[in-house]
Amino acid sequence: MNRVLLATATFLALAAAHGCVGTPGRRIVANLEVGMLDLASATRTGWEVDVTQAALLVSAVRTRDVNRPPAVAFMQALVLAPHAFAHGGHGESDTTVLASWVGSEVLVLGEGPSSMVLEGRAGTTDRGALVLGGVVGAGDERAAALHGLPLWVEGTATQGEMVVRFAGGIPLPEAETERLVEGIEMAGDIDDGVTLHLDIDLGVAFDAVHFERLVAGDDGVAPITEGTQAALALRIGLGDLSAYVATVTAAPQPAP
Amino acid sequence: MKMLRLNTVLLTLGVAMGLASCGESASTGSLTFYASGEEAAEGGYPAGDIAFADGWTIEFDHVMVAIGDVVLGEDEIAGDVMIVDLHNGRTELFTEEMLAAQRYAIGYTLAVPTASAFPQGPVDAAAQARMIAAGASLYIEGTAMHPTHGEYTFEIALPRAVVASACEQADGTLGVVVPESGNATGEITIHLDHLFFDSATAEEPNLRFEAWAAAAGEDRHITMDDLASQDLTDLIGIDGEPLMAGGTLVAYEPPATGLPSMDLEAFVVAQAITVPHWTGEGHCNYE
Repeated sequence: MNRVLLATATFLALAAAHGCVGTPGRRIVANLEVGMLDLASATRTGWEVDVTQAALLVSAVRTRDVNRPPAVAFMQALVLAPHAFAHGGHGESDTTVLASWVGSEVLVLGEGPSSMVLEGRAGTTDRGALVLGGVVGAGDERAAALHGLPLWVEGTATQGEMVVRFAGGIPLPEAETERLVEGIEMAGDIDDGVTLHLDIDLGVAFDAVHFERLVAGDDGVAPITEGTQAALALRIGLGDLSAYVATVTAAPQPAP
Repeated sequence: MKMLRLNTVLLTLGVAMGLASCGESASTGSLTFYASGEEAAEGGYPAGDIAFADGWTIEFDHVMVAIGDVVLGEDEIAGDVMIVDLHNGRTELFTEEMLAAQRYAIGYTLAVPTASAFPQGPVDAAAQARMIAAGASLYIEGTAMHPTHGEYTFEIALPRAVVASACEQADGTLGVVVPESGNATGEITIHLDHLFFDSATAEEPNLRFEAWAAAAGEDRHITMDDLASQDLTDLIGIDGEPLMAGGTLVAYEPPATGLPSMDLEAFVVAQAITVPHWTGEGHCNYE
């Protein structure tokens, strides 16, 4: 009887608190694949773009918990360390990260997706974020493809009779908040063994580039350097959410 | 018997702790709401150490916001939409009495007003009519001046509602604490400088106006439609050439969540969504 009462007291206290706190999900390990494509070729500036070489450095992928109980937010703000909301509610800090990968990965066009590990809690996600740039991992052989920048591109742009061969890259700010792409649709259930696949369509990033303003060098190649309209447009284009397509694939079923 | 008493105490304590964690309280206090656009709404820019990087100064004629759906905890305590003109100074909105003394979550809405919206404090009727006609939850009229480029007038209309929820104090604590037998104050604070930022992501963005002025027609009056003519990837200056500052192209950095279109109107709308704050520097979630 005493044990029953004690258990009841404990249960009631936990149940009452549960109404305010919610239940965190179980820890999981999932697969993450991130690849780079060049699908969009026609720009709104009237150019057909063919990207022949490209490399992009990425340093984090996060999935957002779609079922964050409001009471958890309240208790976190009330009891736990205070968190700052980014202006406009654009920061991830106003949501709960369900699962994430943090590291350094150089994506190279044509080499297929890179495979990483996504760790966190089981749950349902609807959107996520990608952090561009970062610090290249020591000894990463693919770093040469970046030419010392977080994004490097080479290719040809054509508009009627005009043909512009281009090559160059852009720097990104040091602050992570300034190289974050957030709100990428990635709907699905995150659990052990699932695979989150994220494709980056680099072609979208060229959408606003005025290639006619690039000036070719002696080798006939027009450099894209910081301060050019092309670099500015690429930088803004990388933030276009339509360049990011994510799918969540269930874990393969074990053989019977 | 002794064990039974202990268990009774434990049972009572358990339930009490559970309830306490939800914030129940018996004593009461009151809470007074204000709205403010701070020094800038009254005196324009420069304001204190906030000034435009490209040499412009701003004076406001009207800084009007429509406020509705004020939420305290889980209860809506003010549903009717009221319009205030913050150019006329800090305005008291209302006082809520007999509130249980405890911490409350705070939320409110910048609402798109209809004809039923009522003015709170001194509000020019003609300006209120223009705000309602524009379907704007935030409506601002003003004049910008530059020693070289002269004067331009502008009209900013945020054509959507903004729901601010889970507002924090500047120190990161949630909402507001209503003290026992006392009065707490809270303020819906409008940060006008966000409208003129050149970055939605930088910690310390610059305030700029030339891209706005260059979007004006011959009437030198800038509307939201005019701002749509400025492509963020190819900003044009008043001289018709690419907009430069310090020898480099001026760039407006969009929010991490992107923009529906890469133009200055979309950027300003996105920035306008971030102007409501809580009691000075406190942030909210915005939808």
